[in-house]
This record gives sequence, C-alpha cells and structure tokens, in this order.
Amino acid sequence: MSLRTKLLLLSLLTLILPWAGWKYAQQMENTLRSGQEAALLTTADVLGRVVASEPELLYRTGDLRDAFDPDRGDLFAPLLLTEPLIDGFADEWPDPTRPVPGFGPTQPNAPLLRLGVHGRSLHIYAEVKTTRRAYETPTGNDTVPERGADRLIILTRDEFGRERAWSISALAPGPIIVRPSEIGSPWRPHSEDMPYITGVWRETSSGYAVELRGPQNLFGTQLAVYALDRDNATIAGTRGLAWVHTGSEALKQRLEQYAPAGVRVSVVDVNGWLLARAGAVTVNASSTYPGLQTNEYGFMRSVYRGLFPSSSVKPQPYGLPYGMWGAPVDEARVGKNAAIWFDQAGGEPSLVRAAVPVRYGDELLGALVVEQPGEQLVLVRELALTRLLNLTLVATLFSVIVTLVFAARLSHRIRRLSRAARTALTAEGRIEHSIPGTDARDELGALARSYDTLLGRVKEYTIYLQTLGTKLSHELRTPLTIVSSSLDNLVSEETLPPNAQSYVDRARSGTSRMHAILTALSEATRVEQSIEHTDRVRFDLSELVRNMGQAYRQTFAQHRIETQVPDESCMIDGSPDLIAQLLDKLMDNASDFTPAGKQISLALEVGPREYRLSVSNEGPPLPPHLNGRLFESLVSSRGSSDGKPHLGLGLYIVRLIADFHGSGVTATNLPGERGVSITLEIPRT
Amino acid sequence: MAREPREPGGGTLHPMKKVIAIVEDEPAIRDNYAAAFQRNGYSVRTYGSRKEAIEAFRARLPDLAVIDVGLKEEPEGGFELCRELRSMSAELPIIFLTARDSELDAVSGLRLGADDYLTKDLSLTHLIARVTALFRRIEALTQPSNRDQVISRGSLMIDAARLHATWNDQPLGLTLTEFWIVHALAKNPGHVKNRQQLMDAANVVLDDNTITSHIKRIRRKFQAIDPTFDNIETMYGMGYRWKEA
Repeated sequence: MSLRTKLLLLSLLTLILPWAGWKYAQQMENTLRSGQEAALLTTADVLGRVVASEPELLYRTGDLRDAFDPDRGDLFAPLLLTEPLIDGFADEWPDPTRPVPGFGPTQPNAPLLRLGVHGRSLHIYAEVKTTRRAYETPTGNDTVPERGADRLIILTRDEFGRERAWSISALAPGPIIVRPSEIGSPWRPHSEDMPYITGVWRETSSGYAVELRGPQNLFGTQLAVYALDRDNATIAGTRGLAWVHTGSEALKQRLEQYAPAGVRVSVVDVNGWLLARAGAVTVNASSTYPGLQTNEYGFMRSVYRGLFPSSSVKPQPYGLPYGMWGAPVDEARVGKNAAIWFDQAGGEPSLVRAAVPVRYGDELLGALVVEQPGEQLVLVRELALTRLLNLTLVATLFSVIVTLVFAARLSHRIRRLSRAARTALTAEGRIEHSIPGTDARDELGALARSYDTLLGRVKEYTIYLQTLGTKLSHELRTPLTIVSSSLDNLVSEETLPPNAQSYVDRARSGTSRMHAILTALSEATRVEQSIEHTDRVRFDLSELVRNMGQAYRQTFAQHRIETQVPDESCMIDGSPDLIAQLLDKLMDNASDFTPAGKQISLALEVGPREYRLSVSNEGPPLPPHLNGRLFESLVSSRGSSDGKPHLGLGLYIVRLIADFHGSGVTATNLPGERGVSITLEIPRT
Repeated sequence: MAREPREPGGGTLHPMKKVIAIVEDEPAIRDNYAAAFQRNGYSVRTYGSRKEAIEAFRARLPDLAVIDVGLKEEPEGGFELCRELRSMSAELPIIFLTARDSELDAVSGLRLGADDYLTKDLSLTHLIARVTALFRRIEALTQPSNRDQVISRGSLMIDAARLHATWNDQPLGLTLTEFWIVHALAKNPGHVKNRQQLMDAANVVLDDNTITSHIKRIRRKFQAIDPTFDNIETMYGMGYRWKEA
C-alpha cells in the first residue's frame, strides 16, 4: 500500500465526526423524546384524574358502564367528528373496519348498519339489499296501509323501560316518512308524523339505503332495527334490542375545556371504543418554527433520513375514529402508563401518543390517550443532524483534500528522492547525483541532505577507486623504473658475480610482471580515451570474426576453438580495432574459465535487426551473486590467483566497446549450466 | 654504475663526445640513465627541474635532450620545456621519457616537436639503442645515401641508413618508432607482422593499443600526402602487413 493510500485511509478517520455527531443527535433526540413523553404522560395523568373525578361523564347511563359486549350484539355509536350530510350516502361516515354486530361485511348479504353520534343527535345509516323495491302509495287520507311497501322498523327502549317503535318508509326516493307504530306490531303505523326525525331514502343498485337523524335522547338506551319488505317479511335485523353505547358529548366538552392546545385527547373505554375526543393534531404548531417550514436542506434531509433511520419510531396505524387499539392504548387499558412515537402515516403527522388508565377507585374505567405532534422534534433533530452532517461533511472533504494534497506532495517528494537515489549510479558506474529537495527543512529534507552527503562521499570514493588504477600505475612506474634501470646498469657491470645473473633474471621477470599489472590497471582508462578519439568506419564484421577465429586457433591451442560465421558479409559502422580488442578480452576471459581441451565457440549470427556476436565456453556457470553486475567496473568473479592480474576491468572494457557500437551485451549460462555465453547484439545499420 | 652523475663543466672536457641532457626529477632514475649513457660513451648533463635545465640550455645546447614530462611541481613541465627548447633550436633531437603512457600525452608530446615519445618501461639497452639510432639519423641526413639500405616499394622509399622515408618523393616526417614500424612492414611485403614483432622492430615496449594508435598515425601521415593510401592492411587478430599496390 502506498503512502498516499495510507494517508487517505487515515484521513477517512474524520468520518468519525459525523458518526459521533449522529450519535450525539440520537442521544439528544432520545432525551428530548423522553422529556416530551414524560410531559405528555403528566398531561395525560392530570386529564385522566379530571375524567376519573367525574365518572358519570364517561357514559350516558351508569348501566352501560361495563356492559358493552359486541359478542352479545351490543351496538356502538361512535362520536362523529363531522356532522354527516343527510343525503343517503355514507361517504362522510368513517369507514368502519370493525363490523357492527348483526350488520357488516362479515355477513355478505346482511344489510349494513351504522350508528353515530354528533352533538346531541344520533345518526343512523342503513343499507338493505332487496330485489323487490316497493314504495308506499299515498292514500289521500290519514289511513296508512299496513303492507305493500318496504319499511324500516326501529324499536327503542329508554332507561326507564319505555319502549317505542317507528316505522320508516318513503313515497319515492327522497325524504322519509317516520311514523310511530304499535309496539307489538310495528308494521302498523299511526298516521301521525314524527317531526324530530329526518332522513333520506335512496335507491341503490341492490336495494335501498336510509340515512336519518334524530335527537339522541329520543332513541333511549337500547335499539333494534329491522327491514321489512312489502309483505312485512323481515329482510334483515339486529338481534333483538341491543344496548347502544356511544361517546359522551359531555365528556368531550369537558376534555375540550381542559385539553391544552396542540394536543388531541381521547378517552376510550376498557375495550378501546372511543368515548370522547377533543383537540386536533394538525400541525400548525410548526408555524412557531418558521425556519422549519422552509424547504431548507430538503434534499439533504431526505438523504439523511435514508442514511440514519429513526430507530425508535414505528409506523403504526392510528386507532379508528371510534376506537383505539394497539400500543400504547392496550397497555393503558390494563392499567399501565405508556407512550410511543409514531412516524407520519395515513395522513396524520408524526406524533407521540401517551396513554394512561382512568380509574375510579380500583375500578378501571378506561384509558385516556393524549397525542401531540412529534414533527417539531423530528424537525429539530433532522435540522440539527443535517447541519451537523453538512458541516462535518465539508470538514471531512476538506481534510481529505488537504491530506490528499499533502500525501501527494509527500509521496512525490519521496518518489523523487528515491528516483534520484536510484539513478544516481549511471550505467557506466559513475555517480552523478542531483538530489532534489535538499533545502527543505523537514525530515525529508534532512534525508535528502543525508543522501546528498552520502552520494557525494560515495562519488568521491568511486572516483578515487576508478582513478586509483591510473594513479597507482603512474605512481608505481617511477620506482619500478628505478628498479629496472638499476638492474640494467647492474648487468652492464663486468664485476657481477657469475651466479648473480640468475637473480637479475628473476628480478627482471618480476619487474616485467609488474609492468603488465600496471598496464592492465590503466587499460580501461586508455580504452575510454581511445574510444573518444575513434572514428567510425564501415567494415565487414563476418570477415573480421573469421580472421580472428583463425588467429585464436593458434593463440588458444589448449582449447578447441569453433568459429561459426555466416557466408554473407555483415557490414556495420564502428571500429574494427575495438571489436578485435573486445573479442580479445572475451576470448581471454573465456579461456581462463575453460578447462583445457574444452570448447570455446565464437559465433556470429544474423538476426532480423541485429548481428549476434557471441563467445561461449564450456566451464563453470556464472556466479549468481554477480548477476547483472558482471559488466561493471572493478567487478571480478575470480578469486584464485594465476599469475595474471584480474582487476575486474576486462568485461568492463567489453561493455565500453559494446556501448560504442550501440549494442547490448548479456551474459547467460548455457543450457544445463555447461558453461557461459556472452552475447553482443550489434544493431544492423 | 654512474660514478659521476654530473660531469664537472658539462661536456667541455670531452668535445668529441655527444652531449645528452637528461631532465628528470627523480634522482635515482636520473643517475641510472646518466650512468648508462656515460657507459656508452656519451657525455651527460643532468637537471632536476625545468628552470635549472632551461638556464643551462641558454648557455649551451646539448646534442640531445631526454625530458620527463612531469617535473616536480609542474606536471606538464616537460612539455613546456620542449616548447622552449624547440624555439631555441629546430633541429635539436628531443626524446620524451615518461611514466605517463596515455595516448593523449604521447600525441601532445609528438605534436610539440619531440622526435620520440618513450615510456619508462623501456629498458636501458633499448633506450641507448634508440638514442644511437637517433644520432645516426641526424648524421645520415648529412651524408649521401647508401643504396643497400634503401628500400623501394612503389611510391615508398625508405632509407634505413638515414632513417628517412618518402612517399611520392615527399618526406613523411615519421618519428623513430613510426619509421621502424613502416620499415618492418615494408621490408617483407605481404608478410603479417604481429604487434610483438613491430614492437621489437621499433625497439619499444608498448601495449597493443599504442601500436594501434601508431599505425593509425602512420596511415594519417601517408594519407596527408596521398588520400587514397591503403597499403598498410590490418589483419585482425594477427597484426598488420604491407600490401603491394
């Protein structure tokens, strides 16, 4: 992993900031929430006590207190929020998802019956399915026919046991005719009108629908509804007189009196049926936070809402208009305080709902539910979170960019330094260093300076080493000349003792060997100089190699010399003398490593773009530690002394000459490590 | 052995003898050379520095000067001395004798008008032989040519007695080493002379490289007269030969 990547990853650590901020915002939200919950529960508790102090407000009649039982067939008339228009249509009625016993979707062909209370009126809506619709025929006098028309019979019983019956019919779709009728045979109506009850008769595709309204106290506490056809046969009906439970208008008024603004207070009975409801949760409260209404960060907020979902808010359906079930109302109905947050759903805003039980003594009367819009808090949270996230995002971006730039700069400097260090040593083995950034004052600058100093020292040392040979040969030549000239003079003396001659000869052979060594020492320098002064000529490489091969056959008689040269001429631009010198060096080298009697091959091959000149010898393979450095100056693989100087300059001279001819030179082991092949690839020109 | 490294009074005591001046900063070498020359009948005067030498030369010129290139503090003092000496006398034979063996030094030495450029590897015997040959050439120039010693190869004329060579009757201006190399090659046309043979012929100890550069210089001297000259042929791996036209 590069330094840049590492620093980039490191800079990503700043992403902890938004995470921490989010965590903090969550914590804050939880705190605010529990505060709001506690406040709401307190409100609910106070209101609950108000309700409990007047238990008679809960129900119209005390008998109903705990008698409601849908299984028994009890009817429930919820408090309607709006007054339904008496038009024969049920559009404005709340859609019941819980069936009214005796009526409702669970019985496919049963007529539909809905009850509701608004203000002091009881509303009834009934749908009857019949194939034979019949209307009343006006008689023209006060007599009322007992049969021949569809009619709806309503039986009531008030708390004093007095029963009443009404017959409802119509002359045509439109206003209904309501007449009191006999209790025992309600199909026999009296001719008098019931002026308090108004309604509308409407034809439906499968029958008819009746919607009517009457004063609540006229209906008493028990109610039965039957539909009779023209022959007075019952089409549908409730199971006898059923208790009618309904919300308490008095309680509603009381709640409206006490409920604080901006909250909705509902009271349900132990079964969850709504008894009263006051207030509303329509969020106009947000008008107190003007900033929240603007669509500032609208997009970002939706992003964050997706990124950081609210953990504790479960979207759940509200209670129905005439009842509340599910958490937290269920907990309150069994006597526990509870509060829960709801996300916005079903056209209602996000809100918090707190429920407390309402007790009368030890008796559980029902539950009081207080709801308050949670949108404020959500908005505050989201706004804070959005701002926090935006800020930290900018900060993160900034720090990432800064880190990236810094890392790029740093790694650039390091790479520059490493490149400079790598290229300080030229292919010729010279040190030509130009270390960048030595004037920087940081650690990299110090490193660069150290490199500079080091390379400077190494350069001096290398130059010293490279010139050592020449210097040494020059410096040693003078004392050597003293020795050899003295020897020459010594020989000329007649007084030399006879056996001294052999000593002189030995001394002479010693000095001549030293001469050879000194010559070898300065050879590379001389070759470099002579390359500088060499002119290129066009010559035939194959002829040269052929001639050289013949000459080597005599020179290296102890080896088998093989020469492979193409018949065609291979013309190149260069110096034949230098090529000959190069071959001399290669042959000398090969000869040293080839056991006596083994083969040395000198080959020239014609390639598509180059001539391959190679000298291969049988013998030991290349030492692996010299791989690639064989052609450098002062590198030698020879340890043993055989009387000849081995200064590691021979193959260096080969490379100098190869470079002059623009050719590469490589040393490879022969297959099976039988020996070594040194190949020159001289480009064809 | 040099018993009298410095002859008192210079060469005046022996007017018949040739006077050789040795300018060499290393006393041991200087004395060895002086002894060898004296043994061979030359009068020798030795100097250790350029200043010392030039003062003596102003008083009297020797018959031959053997000069070391590097003189004490002056690494190029020999070249400087050669230049001054050449300005005093155009004919005075000058031999550079030096530890420096680079081709560049040799070229610059010869360019300054030195008659020969020898390295100190050369044995004393060879040195004496070279000096004798040099004197012989100078003498020969003043004497009529000996027919026996004249070799004629086409346009080439070599007078071994006078150590003089011409091409198309124009003098080639070869140095001693070059002369002996050309002589060795031209004596047996078609025969390949290897480097060792050429060195022996020229009485020099040189490495292969220097022989190559000598040959190169010889060819240039020929080509200066005749640009089409190609009679000296390189036999790679073997040596050189004189190719008959």
